[in-house]
Amino acid sequence: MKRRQSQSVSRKQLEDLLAQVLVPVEPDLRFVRTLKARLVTYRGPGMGPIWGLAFGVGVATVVTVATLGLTLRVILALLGIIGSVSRGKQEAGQHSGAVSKA
Amino acid sequence: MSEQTRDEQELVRRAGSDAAAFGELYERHVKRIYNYIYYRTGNHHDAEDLTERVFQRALRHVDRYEDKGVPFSAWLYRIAHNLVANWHRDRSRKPLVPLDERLFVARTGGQPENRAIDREEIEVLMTCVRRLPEDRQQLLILKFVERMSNAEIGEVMGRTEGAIKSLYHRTLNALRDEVGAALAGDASQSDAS
Repeated sequence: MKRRQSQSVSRKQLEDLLAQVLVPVEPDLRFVRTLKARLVTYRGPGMGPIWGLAFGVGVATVVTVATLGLTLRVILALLGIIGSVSRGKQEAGQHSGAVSKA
Repeated sequence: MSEQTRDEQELVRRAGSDAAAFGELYERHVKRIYNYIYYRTGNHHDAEDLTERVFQRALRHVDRYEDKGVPFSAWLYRIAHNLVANWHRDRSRKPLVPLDERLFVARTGGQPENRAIDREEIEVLMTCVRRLPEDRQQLLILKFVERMSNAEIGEVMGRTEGAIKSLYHRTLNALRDEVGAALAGDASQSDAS
C-alpha cells in the first residue's frame, strides 16, 4: 500500500498489510503469572478452602479467647493469693503490736 | 474427535473441581484471549482487566460447560466477546480507541521518513478496522492474529464456514473502500498544504 503511488488498494495489498499489522502481542509475563495464581487460589478444590479458612479463623478465635480467659484467671488467682498473704501479715503485725502493748 | 480435543475435554471436565486442570486450560488459552481483547480495546491495561474477567467468569461457570462439539476456546471467545461488547457500551465508546504506542514501535522501523509513512498507514488502517461492525472486527482478529481457518472461525462465531468466507469477502471489500477513501483524503490534504 504505497499511498504516494496510488490511492486504490488491491485486495492482496490489503491482506498483506493486515497480516503485517494484526500480529500477536505478548501479554506481560507478570500479569499472566499473577492471574494464574489468583485463579488457582481463588478456586482451589471446590469450596474446601473457604470452609477451611472459616474453620481456621474460628479455631484461632476460640483458642485466643480461652488463652485470655485462662491468663485472666491466673492473674486474679495470683492477686487473691497476694492479697491473702498481705492481709495475713497485716493481721499478724497487729496481733504482735497488741501483745507488746499489753 | 482428535487426541488433543479429547485431552482438552477431559481437562474441562476436571476443571470444575480441580484447580490444576483449570490452570492448565488457562495456560493454553490466555495469550489468545488476551490478543483478541487487546485488538478490540486498543490498550494493554483494559486488555489485562478484561482477560482477568473472562477467566474468572469461565472459572465460575466451567462446571456448567457442555460439550456441544465446539472447542473450549470458542466458549472463551464468546465470553470475551460479550465482555468487550459490555466494555464498549459502558464507556459509550465506539471502538475508535487509539492503539498503544508500543504497537506502532513494534511495527515500524527503518528510515525516519519511512517510519512516518508506515505509522500513518497503520493509523489509517486501524482506524478503518475499528469502524467496522463488531463481527467483522472479530473475524479479522481471528483470521490474522490467531491465524484461524474459516471453519475454526465459524465455530467461534457460531456460523458456517461458507458464511465466514462470504463475510470475509465483504469485509475486505468494505475495508478496501474505507482505506482508499481515507488515504485519498490524506493525500488531498497534504497536496493542499
